[in-house]
Amino acid sequence: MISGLPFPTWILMAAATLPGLILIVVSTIIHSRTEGQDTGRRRGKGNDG
Amino acid sequence: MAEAEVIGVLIVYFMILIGIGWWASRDTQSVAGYYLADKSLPSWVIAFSANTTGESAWLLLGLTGMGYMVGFHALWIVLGEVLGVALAWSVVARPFKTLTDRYDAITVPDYLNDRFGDRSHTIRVVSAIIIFTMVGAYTAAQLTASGKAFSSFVGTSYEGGVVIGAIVILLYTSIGGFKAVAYSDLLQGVLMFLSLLLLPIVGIWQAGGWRELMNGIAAIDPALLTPMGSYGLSLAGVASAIGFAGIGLAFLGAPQLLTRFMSARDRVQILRAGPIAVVCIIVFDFGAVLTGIAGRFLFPGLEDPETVLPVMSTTLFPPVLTGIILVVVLAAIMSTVDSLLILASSAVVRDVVQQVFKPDLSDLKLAALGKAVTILIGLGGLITALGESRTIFWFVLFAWSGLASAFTPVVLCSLFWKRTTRAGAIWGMIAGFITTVVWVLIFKERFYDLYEMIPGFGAGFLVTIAVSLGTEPPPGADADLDAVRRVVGGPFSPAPSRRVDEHLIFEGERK
Repeated sequence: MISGLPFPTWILMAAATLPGLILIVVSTIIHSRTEGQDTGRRRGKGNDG
Repeated sequence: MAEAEVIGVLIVYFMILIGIGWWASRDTQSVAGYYLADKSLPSWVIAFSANTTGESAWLLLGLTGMGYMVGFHALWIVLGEVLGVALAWSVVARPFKTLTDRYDAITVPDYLNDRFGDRSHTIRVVSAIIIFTMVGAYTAAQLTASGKAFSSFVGTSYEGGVVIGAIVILLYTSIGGFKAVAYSDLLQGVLMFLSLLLLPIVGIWQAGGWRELMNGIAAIDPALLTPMGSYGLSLAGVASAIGFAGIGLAFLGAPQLLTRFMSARDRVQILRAGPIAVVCIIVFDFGAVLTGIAGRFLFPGLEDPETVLPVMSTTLFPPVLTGIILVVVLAAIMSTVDSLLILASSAVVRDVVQQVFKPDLSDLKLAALGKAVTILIGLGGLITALGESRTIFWFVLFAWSGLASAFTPVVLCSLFWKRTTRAGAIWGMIAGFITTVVWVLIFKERFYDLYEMIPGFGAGFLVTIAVSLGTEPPPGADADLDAVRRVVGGPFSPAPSRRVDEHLIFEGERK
Protein backbone atom coordinates (compact mmCIF):
# COMPACT_ATOMS: atom_id res chain seq x y z
CA MET A 1 0.00 0.00 0.00
CA ILE A 2 1.18 3.53 -0.79
CA SER A 3 -0.67 6.38 0.92
CA GLY A 4 -3.56 4.06 1.62
CA LEU A 5 -3.95 2.78 -1.96
CA PRO A 6 -2.74 -0.56 -3.30
CA PHE A 7 0.19 -0.38 -5.75
CA PRO A 8 -1.84 -1.76 -8.73
CA THR A 9 -4.26 1.14 -8.34
CA TRP A 10 -1.40 3.63 -8.64
CA ILE A 11 -0.33 1.78 -11.81
CA LEU A 12 -3.84 2.16 -13.20
CA MET A 13 -3.82 5.86 -12.36
CA ALA A 14 -0.55 6.34 -14.23
CA ALA A 15 -1.80 4.27 -17.17
CA ALA A 16 -4.94 6.39 -17.29
CA THR A 17 -3.02 9.64 -17.79
CA LEU A 18 0.54 9.24 -19.03
CA PRO A 19 0.12 7.45 -22.38
CA GLY A 20 -2.47 9.98 -23.58
CA LEU A 21 -0.40 12.95 -22.46
CA ILE A 22 2.79 11.63 -24.04
CA LEU A 23 0.96 10.81 -27.26
CA ILE A 24 -0.53 14.28 -27.73
CA VAL A 25 2.67 16.09 -26.78
CA VAL A 26 4.82 14.03 -29.16
CA SER A 27 2.30 14.38 -31.99
CA THR A 28 2.01 18.14 -31.48
CA ILE A 29 5.80 18.58 -31.53
CA ILE A 30 6.20 16.43 -34.66
CA HIS A 31 3.57 18.29 -36.67
CA SER A 32 4.10 21.83 -35.43
CA ARG A 33 7.11 22.20 -37.69
CA THR A 34 5.12 21.77 -40.89
CA GLU A 35 1.63 23.00 -40.07
CA GLY A 36 0.97 26.60 -40.98
CA GLN A 37 3.68 26.53 -43.66
CA ASP A 38 1.22 26.13 -46.53
CA THR A 39 1.54 28.52 -49.42
CA GLY A 40 -1.60 27.70 -51.37
CA ARG A 41 -5.33 27.36 -50.82
CA ARG A 42 -6.23 24.94 -48.02
CA ARG A 43 -9.90 24.63 -48.69
CA GLY A 44 -12.28 23.85 -51.52
CA LYS A 45 -14.18 26.50 -53.37
CA GLY A 46 -15.68 29.44 -51.58
CA ASN A 47 -13.70 29.65 -48.36
CA ASP A 48 -10.67 31.62 -47.42
CA GLY A 49 -8.17 30.70 -44.67
CA MET B 1 -37.59 25.48 -1.29
CA ALA B 2 -34.26 26.57 -2.81
CA GLU B 3 -32.32 29.53 -1.53
CA ALA B 4 -32.83 32.76 -3.45
CA GLU B 5 -29.11 32.80 -4.25
CA VAL B 6 -29.32 29.50 -6.11
CA ILE B 7 -32.18 30.72 -8.24
CA GLY B 8 -30.42 34.04 -8.78
CA VAL B 9 -27.28 32.34 -10.12
CA LEU B 10 -29.46 30.18 -12.39
CA ILE B 11 -31.26 33.18 -13.87
CA VAL B 12 -27.96 35.00 -14.58
CA TYR B 13 -26.57 31.90 -16.29
CA PHE B 14 -29.65 31.41 -18.46
CA MET B 15 -29.53 35.05 -19.51
CA ILE B 16 -25.86 34.68 -20.51
CA LEU B 17 -26.70 31.64 -22.65
CA ILE B 18 -29.56 33.38 -24.39
CA GLY B 19 -27.27 36.38 -24.92
CA ILE B 20 -24.71 34.11 -26.61
CA GLY B 21 -27.50 32.77 -28.80
CA TRP B 22 -28.51 36.26 -29.83
CA TRP B 23 -24.85 37.30 -30.48
CA ALA B 24 -24.31 34.26 -32.69
CA SER B 25 -27.58 34.63 -34.55
CA ARG B 26 -26.08 37.11 -37.02
CA ASP B 27 -24.08 34.26 -38.54
CA THR B 28 -26.97 31.83 -38.96
CA GLN B 29 -28.37 33.00 -42.27
CA SER B 30 -26.78 30.21 -44.28
CA VAL B 31 -26.53 26.45 -43.91
CA ALA B 32 -22.74 26.60 -43.39
CA GLY B 33 -23.21 29.38 -40.85
CA TYR B 34 -25.99 27.65 -38.90
CA TYR B 35 -24.43 24.18 -38.84
CA LEU B 36 -20.66 24.86 -38.76
CA ALA B 37 -20.14 28.52 -37.77
CA ASP B 38 -18.64 29.00 -41.25
CA LYS B 39 -15.58 26.93 -40.23
CA SER B 40 -14.16 29.81 -38.25
CA LEU B 41 -13.55 28.50 -34.75
CA PRO B 42 -10.27 28.88 -32.80
CA SER B 43 -8.41 26.27 -30.75
CA TRP B 44 -9.83 26.88 -27.26
CA VAL B 45 -13.39 26.77 -28.53
CA ILE B 46 -13.06 23.52 -30.47
CA ALA B 47 -11.07 21.82 -27.68
CA PHE B 48 -13.57 22.61 -24.95
CA SER B 49 -16.55 22.17 -27.23
CA ALA B 50 -15.48 18.66 -28.25
CA ASN B 51 -14.96 17.59 -24.63
CA THR B 52 -18.09 19.13 -23.17
CA THR B 53 -20.18 17.75 -26.03
CA GLY B 54 -18.78 14.31 -25.32
CA GLU B 55 -19.12 14.49 -21.55
CA SER B 56 -22.53 15.86 -20.52
CA ALA B 57 -24.48 15.10 -17.35
CA TRP B 58 -23.06 11.62 -17.70
CA LEU B 59 -19.81 13.08 -16.36
CA LEU B 60 -21.20 15.06 -13.43
CA LEU B 61 -24.01 12.74 -12.35
CA GLY B 62 -23.26 9.39 -14.02
CA LEU B 63 -19.47 9.10 -13.60
CA THR B 64 -19.54 10.56 -10.07
CA GLY B 65 -22.26 8.01 -9.30
CA MET B 66 -20.11 5.25 -10.80
CA GLY B 67 -17.12 6.40 -8.70
CA TYR B 68 -19.46 6.24 -5.69
CA MET B 69 -20.54 2.67 -6.51
CA VAL B 70 -17.34 0.98 -7.71
CA GLY B 71 -14.54 3.19 -6.38
CA PHE B 72 -11.20 3.11 -8.23
CA HIS B 73 -12.47 0.47 -10.70
CA ALA B 74 -13.99 3.49 -12.48
CA LEU B 75 -10.45 4.57 -13.48
CA TRP B 76 -10.72 2.20 -16.45
CA ILE B 77 -13.16 4.73 -17.88
CA VAL B 78 -10.58 7.48 -17.44
CA LEU B 79 -7.95 5.36 -19.20
CA GLY B 80 -10.21 4.78 -22.21
CA GLU B 81 -11.37 8.37 -22.48
CA VAL B 82 -7.93 9.97 -22.17
CA LEU B 83 -6.50 7.62 -24.80
CA GLY B 84 -9.55 8.14 -27.02
CA VAL B 85 -9.27 11.92 -26.89
CA ALA B 86 -5.49 11.85 -27.45
CA LEU B 87 -5.80 9.52 -30.44
CA ALA B 88 -8.66 11.55 -31.92
CA TRP B 89 -6.72 14.82 -31.89
CA SER B 90 -3.37 13.34 -32.90
CA VAL B 91 -4.43 10.82 -35.54
CA VAL B 92 -7.94 11.59 -36.83
CA ALA B 93 -8.50 15.34 -36.61
CA ARG B 94 -6.05 16.73 -39.16
CA PRO B 95 -6.66 14.27 -42.03
CA PHE B 96 -10.40 14.58 -41.43
CA LYS B 97 -10.23 18.39 -41.50
CA THR B 98 -8.18 18.31 -44.70
CA LEU B 99 -10.60 16.04 -46.54
CA THR B 100 -13.76 17.78 -45.33
CA ASP B 101 -12.33 21.12 -46.47
CA ARG B 102 -11.42 19.53 -49.78
CA TYR B 103 -15.00 18.32 -50.26
CA ASP B 104 -16.54 21.49 -48.76
CA ALA B 105 -18.45 19.19 -46.40
CA ILE B 106 -20.69 20.72 -43.77
CA THR B 107 -21.79 17.46 -42.12
CA VAL B 108 -20.29 14.01 -41.56
CA PRO B 109 -22.74 12.40 -44.03
CA ASP B 110 -21.62 15.13 -46.53
CA TYR B 111 -18.06 13.91 -46.09
CA LEU B 112 -18.94 10.22 -46.41
CA ASN B 113 -21.08 10.91 -49.47
CA ASP B 114 -18.24 12.72 -51.28
CA ARG B 115 -15.52 10.34 -50.10
CA PHE B 116 -17.39 7.39 -51.62
CA GLY B 117 -18.97 9.19 -54.58
CA ASP B 118 -22.45 8.11 -53.53
CA ARG B 119 -24.84 9.51 -56.16
CA SER B 120 -27.73 7.44 -54.82
CA HIS B 121 -27.60 9.31 -51.45
CA THR B 122 -27.97 5.99 -49.61
CA ILE B 123 -25.22 6.95 -47.17
CA ARG B 124 -27.00 10.20 -46.39
CA VAL B 125 -30.34 8.54 -45.72
CA VAL B 126 -28.88 5.72 -43.60
CA SER B 127 -26.83 8.27 -41.62
CA ALA B 128 -29.85 10.49 -41.08
CA ILE B 129 -31.96 7.62 -39.74
CA ILE B 130 -29.25 6.50 -37.30
CA ILE B 131 -28.52 10.04 -36.13
CA PHE B 132 -32.20 10.88 -35.70
CA THR B 133 -32.92 7.73 -33.64
CA MET B 134 -29.91 7.97 -31.36
CA VAL B 135 -30.15 11.72 -30.84
CA GLY B 136 -33.74 11.26 -29.74
CA ALA B 137 -32.64 8.75 -27.07
CA TYR B 138 -29.61 10.82 -26.07
CA THR B 139 -31.60 14.04 -25.74
CA ALA B 140 -34.23 12.33 -23.61
CA ALA B 141 -31.48 10.96 -21.34
CA GLN B 142 -29.96 14.41 -20.88
CA LEU B 143 -33.31 16.03 -20.15
CA THR B 144 -33.87 13.27 -17.60
CA ALA B 145 -30.66 14.49 -15.99
CA SER B 146 -32.00 18.03 -16.07
CA GLY B 147 -35.11 16.87 -14.21
CA LYS B 148 -33.00 15.05 -11.59
CA ALA B 149 -30.64 18.01 -11.17
CA PHE B 150 -33.42 20.55 -10.66
CA SER B 151 -35.30 18.38 -8.21
CA SER B 152 -32.12 17.58 -6.20
CA PHE B 153 -30.73 21.10 -6.10
CA VAL B 154 -33.75 23.36 -6.23
CA GLY B 155 -36.64 21.19 -5.09
CA THR B 156 -38.72 21.52 -8.25
CA SER B 157 -40.63 18.53 -9.55
CA TYR B 158 -38.79 16.22 -11.92
CA GLU B 159 -41.15 17.25 -14.75
CA GLY B 160 -40.60 20.95 -14.04
CA GLY B 161 -36.85 20.47 -14.25
CA VAL B 162 -37.16 18.69 -17.59
CA VAL B 163 -39.28 21.47 -19.05
CA ILE B 164 -37.09 24.35 -17.81
CA GLY B 165 -33.95 22.70 -19.18
CA ALA B 166 -35.58 22.07 -22.54
CA ILE B 167 -36.86 25.64 -22.93
CA VAL B 168 -33.48 27.29 -22.30
CA ILE B 169 -31.58 24.88 -24.56
CA LEU B 170 -34.05 25.22 -27.41
CA LEU B 171 -34.00 29.02 -27.15
CA TYR B 172 -30.27 29.61 -27.60
CA THR B 173 -29.68 26.64 -29.93
CA SER B 174 -32.45 27.43 -32.39
CA ILE B 175 -31.52 31.13 -32.48
CA GLY B 176 -27.73 30.90 -32.51
CA GLY B 177 -26.92 27.61 -34.26
CA PHE B 178 -23.50 25.96 -34.11
CA LYS B 179 -21.65 29.16 -33.18
CA ALA B 180 -23.85 29.65 -30.09
CA VAL B 181 -23.42 25.96 -29.29
CA ALA B 182 -19.62 26.10 -29.54
CA TYR B 183 -19.10 29.31 -27.57
CA SER B 184 -21.55 28.31 -24.86
CA ASP B 185 -19.66 24.99 -24.74
CA LEU B 186 -16.48 26.98 -24.01
CA LEU B 187 -18.13 28.81 -21.11
CA GLN B 188 -19.68 25.58 -19.83
CA GLY B 189 -16.40 23.70 -20.22
CA VAL B 190 -14.47 26.24 -18.17
CA LEU B 191 -17.12 26.02 -15.40
CA MET B 192 -16.97 22.21 -15.50
CA PHE B 193 -13.15 22.26 -15.40
CA LEU B 194 -13.03 24.54 -12.34
CA SER B 195 -15.74 22.59 -10.52
CA LEU B 196 -14.12 19.22 -11.12
CA LEU B 197 -10.87 20.63 -9.73
CA LEU B 198 -12.65 22.08 -6.69
CA LEU B 199 -15.12 19.32 -5.75
CA PRO B 200 -12.68 16.47 -5.08
CA ILE B 201 -10.35 18.82 -3.19
CA VAL B 202 -13.20 19.91 -0.92
CA GLY B 203 -14.43 16.34 -0.57
CA ILE B 204 -10.99 15.05 0.43
CA TRP B 205 -10.54 17.95 2.83
CA GLN B 206 -13.96 17.31 4.44
CA ALA B 207 -13.03 13.66 4.84
CA GLY B 208 -9.99 14.74 6.88
CA GLY B 209 -7.33 14.30 4.19
CA TRP B 210 -6.31 11.70 1.62
CA ARG B 211 -5.20 9.06 4.19
CA GLU B 212 -8.39 9.41 6.20
CA LEU B 213 -10.46 9.08 3.04
CA MET B 214 -8.64 5.94 1.91
CA ASN B 215 -8.92 4.40 5.38
CA GLY B 216 -12.60 5.28 5.49
CA ILE B 217 -13.26 3.75 2.07
CA ALA B 218 -11.33 0.62 3.08
CA ALA B 219 -13.57 0.32 6.14
CA ILE B 220 -16.69 0.47 3.95
CA ASP B 221 -15.33 -2.04 1.40
CA PRO B 222 -11.61 -2.67 0.67
CA ALA B 223 -12.47 -3.74 -2.90
CA LEU B 224 -13.37 -0.12 -3.70
CA LEU B 225 -9.66 0.71 -3.58
CA THR B 226 -8.61 -1.93 -6.11
CA PRO B 227 -8.45 -1.74 -9.94
CA MET B 228 -10.89 -4.63 -10.43
CA GLY B 229 -13.27 -3.61 -7.66
CA SER B 230 -15.62 -6.17 -6.17
CA TYR B 231 -15.31 -8.33 -9.33
CA GLY B 232 -11.71 -9.21 -8.54
CA LEU B 233 -9.64 -10.76 -11.31
CA SER B 234 -12.51 -12.66 -12.96
CA LEU B 235 -14.16 -12.81 -16.40
CA ALA B 236 -16.82 -10.42 -15.17
CA GLY B 237 -14.14 -8.05 -13.90
CA VAL B 238 -12.23 -8.15 -17.18
CA ALA B 239 -15.45 -7.59 -19.15
CA SER B 240 -16.26 -4.63 -16.94
CA ALA B 241 -12.78 -3.13 -17.32
CA ILE B 242 -12.81 -3.60 -21.10
CA GLY B 243 -16.31 -2.16 -21.32
CA PHE B 244 -15.35 0.86 -19.25
CA ALA B 245 -12.22 1.48 -21.31
CA GLY B 246 -14.23 1.06 -24.51
CA ILE B 247 -16.34 4.11 -23.69
CA GLY B 248 -13.47 6.30 -24.92
CA LEU B 249 -13.39 4.69 -28.38
CA ALA B 250 -16.27 6.90 -29.44
CA PHE B 251 -14.06 9.98 -29.38
CA LEU B 252 -12.44 8.64 -32.56
CA GLY B 253 -15.51 9.01 -34.73
CA ALA B 254 -18.77 10.05 -33.08
CA PRO B 255 -20.29 12.54 -35.55
CA GLN B 256 -21.13 15.19 -32.95
CA LEU B 257 -17.40 15.32 -32.09
CA LEU B 258 -16.10 15.15 -35.66
CA THR B 259 -17.99 18.36 -36.46
CA ARG B 260 -15.64 20.18 -34.08
CA PHE B 261 -12.70 19.21 -36.28
CA MET B 262 -14.61 20.39 -39.34
CA SER B 263 -15.44 23.74 -37.75
CA ALA B 264 -11.82 24.63 -36.93
CA ARG B 265 -10.51 27.74 -38.64
CA ASP B 266 -7.51 25.74 -39.91
CA ARG B 267 -5.26 22.80 -38.97
CA VAL B 268 -3.06 25.00 -36.80
CA GLN B 269 -6.05 25.46 -34.46
CA ILE B 270 -6.40 21.68 -34.29
CA LEU B 271 -2.73 21.32 -33.38
CA ARG B 272 -3.14 23.83 -30.55
CA ALA B 273 -6.42 22.31 -29.38
CA GLY B 274 -5.10 18.75 -28.90
CA PRO B 275 -3.09 19.30 -25.67
CA ILE B 276 -5.87 21.51 -24.29
CA ALA B 277 -8.42 18.76 -24.89
CA VAL B 278 -6.29 16.04 -23.29
CA VAL B 279 -5.53 18.05 -20.13
CA CYS B 280 -9.18 18.99 -19.93
CA ILE B 281 -10.44 15.40 -20.14
CA ILE B 282 -7.94 14.26 -17.48
CA VAL B 283 -9.24 16.88 -15.03
CA PHE B 284 -12.87 16.14 -15.96
CA ASP B 285 -12.66 12.38 -15.51
CA PHE B 286 -10.32 12.15 -12.54
CA GLY B 287 -12.25 14.90 -10.81
CA ALA B 288 -15.55 13.08 -11.31
CA VAL B 289 -14.28 9.70 -10.07
CA LEU B 290 -12.58 11.19 -7.00
CA THR B 291 -15.70 13.22 -6.22
CA GLY B 292 -17.75 10.04 -6.23
CA ILE B 293 -15.25 8.26 -4.01
CA ALA B 294 -15.20 11.12 -1.51
CA GLY B 295 -19.00 11.15 -1.59
CA ARG B 296 -19.10 7.43 -0.77
CA PHE B 297 -17.22 8.13 2.44
CA LEU B 298 -19.06 11.32 3.37
CA PHE B 299 -22.58 10.18 2.44
CA PRO B 300 -22.74 6.39 2.58
CA GLY B 301 -26.06 4.73 1.87
CA LEU B 302 -27.40 7.16 -0.75
CA GLU B 303 -30.48 5.64 -2.40
CA ASP B 304 -29.50 6.95 -5.84
CA PRO B 305 -25.69 7.16 -6.27
CA GLU B 306 -26.24 9.54 -9.20
CA THR B 307 -27.30 12.22 -6.70
CA VAL B 308 -23.91 12.21 -4.91
CA LEU B 309 -22.84 15.45 -6.55
CA PRO B 310 -26.00 17.45 -5.74
CA VAL B 311 -25.98 16.07 -2.18
CA MET B 312 -22.32 17.04 -1.70
CA SER B 313 -22.89 20.50 -3.14
CA THR B 314 -25.97 21.36 -1.12
CA THR B 315 -24.42 20.03 2.09
CA LEU B 316 -20.83 21.26 1.85
CA PHE B 317 -21.11 24.60 0.04
CA PRO B 318 -22.80 27.95 0.74
CA PRO B 319 -25.88 28.71 -1.42
CA VAL B 320 -24.09 30.83 -4.05
CA LEU B 321 -21.56 28.06 -4.72
CA THR B 322 -24.35 25.49 -4.71
CA GLY B 323 -26.06 27.59 -7.36
CA ILE B 324 -22.86 27.62 -9.41
CA ILE B 325 -22.50 23.82 -9.12
CA LEU B 326 -26.09 23.42 -10.30
CA VAL B 327 -25.22 25.72 -13.18
CA VAL B 328 -22.27 23.44 -13.95
CA VAL B 329 -24.50 20.35 -14.03
CA LEU B 330 -26.91 22.13 -16.32
CA ALA B 331 -23.93 23.35 -18.36
CA ALA B 332 -22.85 19.76 -18.83
CA ILE B 333 -26.33 18.77 -19.96
CA MET B 334 -26.82 21.73 -22.25
CA SER B 335 -23.36 21.48 -23.84
CA THR B 336 -24.32 18.03 -25.07
CA VAL B 337 -27.97 18.48 -25.95
CA ASP B 338 -27.29 21.61 -28.00
CA SER B 339 -24.70 19.75 -30.10
CA LEU B 340 -26.98 16.77 -30.59
CA LEU B 341 -29.87 18.93 -31.69
CA ILE B 342 -27.69 20.68 -34.28
CA LEU B 343 -26.40 17.29 -35.45
CA ALA B 344 -29.88 15.84 -35.89
CA SER B 345 -31.21 19.02 -37.47
CA SER B 346 -28.35 19.02 -40.00
CA ALA B 347 -29.00 15.36 -40.82
CA VAL B 348 -32.58 16.19 -41.72
CA VAL B 349 -32.18 19.59 -43.40
CA ARG B 350 -28.76 19.47 -45.04
CA ASP B 351 -28.29 15.76 -45.70
CA VAL B 352 -31.83 14.82 -46.70
CA VAL B 353 -33.91 17.90 -47.60
CA GLN B 354 -31.22 19.96 -49.37
CA GLN B 355 -29.06 17.25 -50.87
CA VAL B 356 -31.76 14.73 -51.86
CA PHE B 357 -35.10 16.47 -52.37
CA LYS B 358 -34.78 20.27 -52.65
CA PRO B 359 -31.33 21.32 -53.88
CA ASP B 360 -32.71 24.65 -55.16
CA LEU B 361 -34.05 25.84 -51.81
CA SER B 362 -32.31 29.08 -50.77
CA ASP B 363 -29.75 29.11 -47.98
CA LEU B 364 -31.94 31.46 -45.96
CA LYS B 365 -34.95 29.14 -46.18
CA LEU B 366 -32.84 26.12 -45.32
CA ALA B 367 -31.38 27.86 -42.28
CA ALA B 368 -34.91 28.77 -41.15
CA LEU B 369 -36.02 25.17 -41.67
CA GLY B 370 -33.00 24.10 -39.64
CA LYS B 371 -34.19 26.18 -36.71
CA ALA B 372 -37.69 24.73 -36.90
CA VAL B 373 -36.39 21.14 -37.06
CA THR B 374 -34.10 21.82 -34.08
CA ILE B 375 -37.13 22.81 -32.01
CA LEU B 376 -39.19 19.82 -33.14
CA ILE B 377 -36.48 17.31 -32.27
CA GLY B 378 -35.99 18.96 -28.88
CA LEU B 379 -39.70 18.72 -28.16
CA GLY B 380 -39.60 15.01 -29.02
CA GLY B 381 -36.82 14.45 -26.49
CA LEU B 382 -38.78 16.47 -23.94
CA ILE B 383 -41.90 14.34 -24.31
CA THR B 384 -39.87 11.13 -23.96
CA ALA B 385 -38.08 12.40 -20.86
CA LEU B 386 -41.35 13.47 -19.26
CA GLY B 387 -42.65 9.95 -19.70
CA GLU B 388 -40.12 8.24 -17.47
CA SER B 389 -37.05 8.94 -15.31
CA ARG B 390 -34.19 6.57 -16.20
CA THR B 391 -30.70 5.83 -14.95
CA ILE B 392 -28.55 8.41 -16.68
CA PHE B 393 -25.28 6.47 -16.85
CA TRP B 394 -26.37 3.50 -18.96
CA PHE B 395 -29.06 5.28 -20.98
CA VAL B 396 -26.60 7.90 -22.19
CA LEU B 397 -23.99 5.24 -22.93
CA PHE B 398 -26.48 3.33 -25.08
CA ALA B 399 -27.10 6.36 -27.28
CA TRP B 400 -23.38 7.26 -27.26
CA SER B 401 -22.44 3.78 -28.45
CA GLY B 402 -25.19 3.63 -31.09
CA LEU B 403 -23.80 6.73 -32.79
CA ALA B 404 -20.17 5.76 -32.30
CA SER B 405 -20.52 2.14 -33.47
CA ALA B 406 -22.30 3.24 -36.63
CA PHE B 407 -19.85 5.97 -37.65
CA THR B 408 -16.42 5.42 -36.10
CA PRO B 409 -15.36 2.22 -37.91
CA VAL B 410 -16.49 3.66 -41.26
CA VAL B 411 -14.85 7.06 -40.71
CA LEU B 412 -11.56 5.48 -39.62
CA CYS B 413 -11.55 3.12 -42.60
CA SER B 414 -12.37 6.01 -44.93
CA LEU B 415 -9.41 8.02 -43.64
CA PHE B 416 -6.75 5.32 -43.53
CA TRP B 417 -7.70 2.45 -45.85
CA LYS B 418 -7.87 3.11 -49.59
CA ARG B 419 -9.73 -0.10 -50.20
CA THR B 420 -12.88 1.07 -48.35
CA THR B 421 -15.87 1.10 -50.67
CA ARG B 422 -19.30 2.72 -50.74
CA ALA B 423 -21.04 -0.60 -50.07
CA GLY B 424 -18.62 -1.37 -47.24
CA ALA B 425 -19.40 2.00 -45.65
CA ILE B 426 -23.17 1.56 -45.89
CA TRP B 427 -23.27 -1.98 -44.55
CA GLY B 428 -20.64 -1.19 -41.92
CA MET B 429 -22.80 1.64 -40.54
CA ILE B 430 -25.89 -0.54 -40.48
CA ALA B 431 -24.03 -3.45 -38.87
CA GLY B 432 -22.47 -1.28 -36.15
CA PHE B 433 -25.79 0.34 -35.28
CA ILE B 434 -27.93 -2.81 -35.30
CA THR B 435 -25.37 -4.83 -33.35
CA THR B 436 -25.41 -2.18 -30.61
CA VAL B 437 -29.20 -2.23 -30.32
CA VAL B 438 -29.54 -6.03 -30.48
CA TRP B 439 -26.71 -6.53 -27.98
CA VAL B 440 -28.41 -4.31 -25.41
CA LEU B 441 -31.83 -5.88 -25.90
CA ILE B 442 -30.86 -9.56 -26.05
CA PHE B 443 -27.25 -10.48 -25.30
CA LYS B 444 -25.79 -8.03 -22.82
CA GLU B 445 -26.97 -9.75 -19.64
CA ARG B 446 -25.79 -13.13 -20.84
CA PHE B 447 -22.25 -11.90 -21.52
CA TYR B 448 -21.20 -10.36 -18.21
CA ASP B 449 -22.96 -7.09 -19.11
CA LEU B 450 -20.22 -6.33 -21.67
CA TYR B 451 -20.69 -2.74 -22.87
CA GLU B 452 -22.43 -2.66 -26.25
CA MET B 453 -19.80 -0.49 -27.96
CA ILE B 454 -17.34 -3.39 -27.99
CA PRO B 455 -19.43 -5.75 -30.14
CA GLY B 456 -20.81 -2.73 -32.03
CA PHE B 457 -17.32 -1.61 -33.05
CA GLY B 458 -16.32 -5.16 -33.84
CA ALA B 459 -19.28 -5.66 -36.15
CA GLY B 460 -18.81 -2.24 -37.74
CA PHE B 461 -15.17 -2.91 -38.63
CA LEU B 462 -15.72 -6.53 -39.68
CA VAL B 463 -18.57 -5.76 -42.05
CA THR B 464 -16.94 -2.61 -43.49
CA ILE B 465 -13.78 -4.54 -44.29
CA ALA B 466 -15.48 -7.72 -45.52
CA VAL B 467 -17.92 -5.95 -47.84
CA SER B 468 -15.21 -3.57 -49.09
CA LEU B 469 -12.98 -6.48 -50.06
CA GLY B 470 -15.78 -7.80 -52.28
CA THR B 471 -16.61 -4.49 -54.01
CA GLU B 472 -14.77 -1.79 -55.97
CA PRO B 473 -13.37 1.35 -54.28
CA PRO B 474 -14.42 4.72 -55.69
CA PRO B 475 -12.14 6.22 -58.39
CA GLY B 476 -9.85 8.95 -57.10
CA ALA B 477 -9.88 7.73 -53.49
CA ASP B 478 -6.28 6.52 -53.78
CA ALA B 479 -5.17 9.93 -54.99
CA ASP B 480 -7.07 11.82 -52.31
CA LEU B 481 -5.67 9.77 -49.44
CA ASP B 482 -2.14 10.00 -50.85
CA ALA B 483 -2.57 13.76 -51.12
CA VAL B 484 -3.77 13.96 -47.51
CA ARG B 485 -0.73 12.04 -46.42
CA ARG B 486 1.58 14.42 -48.30
CA VAL B 487 -0.16 17.45 -46.82
CA VAL B 488 -0.53 16.42 -43.15
CA GLY B 489 1.98 13.59 -42.82
CA GLY B 490 1.26 10.36 -41.00
CA PRO B 491 0.04 10.08 -37.41
CA PHE B 492 3.61 10.19 -36.10
CA SER B 493 5.57 11.46 -39.05
CA PRO B 494 5.67 15.03 -40.35
CA ALA B 495 4.56 16.09 -43.84
CA PRO B 496 7.38 15.49 -46.35
CA SER B 497 8.12 19.16 -47.12
CA ARG B 498 8.09 22.28 -45.02
CA ARG B 499 6.27 24.44 -47.53
CA VAL B 500 3.49 22.72 -49.41
CA ASP B 501 0.86 23.99 -51.77
CA GLU B 502 -2.07 21.89 -50.73
CA HIS B 503 -4.26 22.69 -53.70
CA LEU B 504 -1.56 21.69 -56.19
CA ILE B 505 -0.79 18.51 -54.28
CA PHE B 506 -4.41 17.37 -54.54
CA GLU B 507 -4.57 18.20 -58.22
CA GLY B 508 -1.18 16.63 -58.88
CA GLU B 509 -2.09 13.35 -57.23
CA ARG B 510 -5.23 13.08 -59.35
CA LYS B 511 -3.31 13.32 -62.66
